[in-house]
Amino acid sequence: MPTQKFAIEREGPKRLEVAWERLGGETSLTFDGQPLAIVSREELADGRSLTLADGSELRIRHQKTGLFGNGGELHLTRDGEPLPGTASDPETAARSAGYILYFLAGMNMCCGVLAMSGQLEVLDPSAAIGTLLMAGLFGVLGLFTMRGSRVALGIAMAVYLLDGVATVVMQLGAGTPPIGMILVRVVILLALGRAFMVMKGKR
Amino acid sequence: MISALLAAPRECENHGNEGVCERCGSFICARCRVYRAERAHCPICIARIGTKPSGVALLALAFATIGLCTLFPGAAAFGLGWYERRRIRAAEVPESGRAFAELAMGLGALEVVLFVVAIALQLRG
Repeated sequence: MPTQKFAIEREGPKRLEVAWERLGGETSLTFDGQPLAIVSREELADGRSLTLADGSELRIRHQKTGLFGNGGELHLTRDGEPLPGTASDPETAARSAGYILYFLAGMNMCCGVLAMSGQLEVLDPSAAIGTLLMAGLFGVLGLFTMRGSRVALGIAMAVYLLDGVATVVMQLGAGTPPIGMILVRVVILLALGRAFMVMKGKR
Repeated sequence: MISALLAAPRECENHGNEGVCERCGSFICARCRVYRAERAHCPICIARIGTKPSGVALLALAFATIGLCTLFPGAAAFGLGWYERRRIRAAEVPESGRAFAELAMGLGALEVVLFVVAIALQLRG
C-alpha cells in the first residue's frame, strides 16, 4: 500500500500519514500514529474536511490531472494553506520546476561538451557553443525559478517551446517528423505549466 | 549561574509553556514555535537563523550554474554544497537551502566528471 508522510507545519516533523490502495480510491489518514479517518473515493473527489487535535481544519481532495484526466494528485490543506510537500504547495512546485530546468540544462551541457569533443555525430561541433549557452540559460532560469520567480519559469517555457518548434521545423526539412521528441517536450511543458499555475497562488 | 537559571522565565513570555526551543532551551508555546529541520525553535532563534536559503547555498548553485557553460567552477560548487548541507543538518542555517545545496553538489559532480572526460578525449584525439 503506497504511503506518504507530510508535515503540517513547514519544516516540521512529518506527523500526517496518508495511505491508499489506488490513488483516488479509499484513503486512510493517520496523525501522530493515531488513525484519523478513512476517506472514501466519493468523499475524496468532492473533498473532505477533518478537524485536528489543535482545532485546525485539514482538508483532503483528489484532483484529476493529465491530458485526458488519467493522472491525479492529492491536495491537502490546513486552514486553507497547502501542506508543505504536497502538489498544491507553491514552494514544492517551484522546486520541482527548477529541477526540471536544471535537468534540461544538464542534458544540454552533456550534449555540448560531447559535441565539442567531436563525439556526438548528430550535433555539429560548431553548434556546441550554442548548446552550452542554452544550458547556461536554462540553469539561470532554473535558479530564479527555484527562488520562486514565475517570470523566469514563463521565459523558460517560452524558450523551450520556441526551441522545440525550431527543431521540429528543421527535422521536417530533413524528412522524418520527430514524434518522440515532440511527446517528450509536451510532457515537460505540461509539468512546467502545472508548476506555473500552482506558483500563481504564491503570496 | 544557578540564581540566573532560577530567575529565568519558566514559560513562553507571550502565551505559556508547551515545550522548549531545541537551539537555546527557552520555553515556547505552540503559537510562537517555528520548525527548522524538524526541530522546534523560538522566534528569537528563528530571527538569528533566518528563513530564506543562506548566501552559501545560493553561491553554491550559482557556481554550478556558471559551470553549465564553462565546467570550471564544478568542484567549488560541489564543495560549497557539501559544506552547506552539513550546516543545514546541524540546523545552523535554514532548511530551505537544502535543495540548492544538493542540486549544486549533483551538478558540480557532473561538471567535474565531464571536465575530466573532455580533457581525456582531447588528449586521446
